[in-house]
Amino acid sequence: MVSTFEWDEHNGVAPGTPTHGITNGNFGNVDQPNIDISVEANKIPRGENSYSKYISGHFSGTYSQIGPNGKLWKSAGSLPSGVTLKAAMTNTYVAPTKTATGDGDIPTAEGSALAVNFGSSEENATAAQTTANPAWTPFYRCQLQTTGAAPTGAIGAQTITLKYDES
Amino acid sequence: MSSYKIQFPWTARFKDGSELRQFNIDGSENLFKKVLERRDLTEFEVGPVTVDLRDGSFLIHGVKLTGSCGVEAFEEWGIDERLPKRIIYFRRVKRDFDSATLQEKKDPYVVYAVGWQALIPPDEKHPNGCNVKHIVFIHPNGELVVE
Repeated sequence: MVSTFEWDEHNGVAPGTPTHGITNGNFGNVDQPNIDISVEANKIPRGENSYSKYISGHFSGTYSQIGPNGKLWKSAGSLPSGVTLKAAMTNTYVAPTKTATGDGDIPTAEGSALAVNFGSSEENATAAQTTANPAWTPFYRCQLQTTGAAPTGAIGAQTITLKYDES
Repeated sequence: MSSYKIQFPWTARFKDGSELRQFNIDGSENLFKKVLERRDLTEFEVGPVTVDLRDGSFLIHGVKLTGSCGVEAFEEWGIDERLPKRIIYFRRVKRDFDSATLQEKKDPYVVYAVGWQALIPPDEKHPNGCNVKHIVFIHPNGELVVE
């Protein structure tokens, strides 16, 4: 028995409606969780951005502490030309839009990974470790940005790695 | 929801000879914070590694390593063995997710860490005092890394 983990996503106007245990992290031309990318209206037009996504790691179950040493990065997968994945950790939720988030490219090495804090909610996840149960990471805000050179279709398999200490 | 199984449960031993195991006979679990709440911990065992908080030694696969032994990373601890030591224990969890499905691509990679930390008060050798920490990391395949 240890902690159990799931991804949550917030959508809509602030403070956002949480969906627990989302089953996919697809980017799309719509602000909703578990996006079906086979739906034409959900596809991101070439040269445009996806709606930003606000995803958080949610811990429950049996543990004394989550953290420290939380890190998140893209550990595998290559993005096609004309496509970039932007990412940041933030404690502040704003309604997702297609406007560029202004975040940098997601780190692709552990050494430059995004630092991940933990707390009793996404907004309170400001410390390196927490004894709160349940506990959350801050919002992992991410957005897919494309240029006119982006190819048609899915971006291919990418691996997102989350690393942390637990006791 | 995803979880993982404990590969190396811990056992804590105290001055009065009593023991606290991570898992009770009925399968219920004791949280590590119960160990931290005690002030009389003497030994803490995780898989093949037992740390002795009285003298700072590590018993690894039955071999005792002390501050005066010649093993790399164990030499020259140079501290008073009577210094109070704080137990260190955590699991370093690495989870790989497919970015589209957010499903885990494989079981989490869990490394168990056990050791101790002590503060050396200022002395001739350490005029400003010194924080000393020794940890043994136990990988899922049994590989041990000393830090």
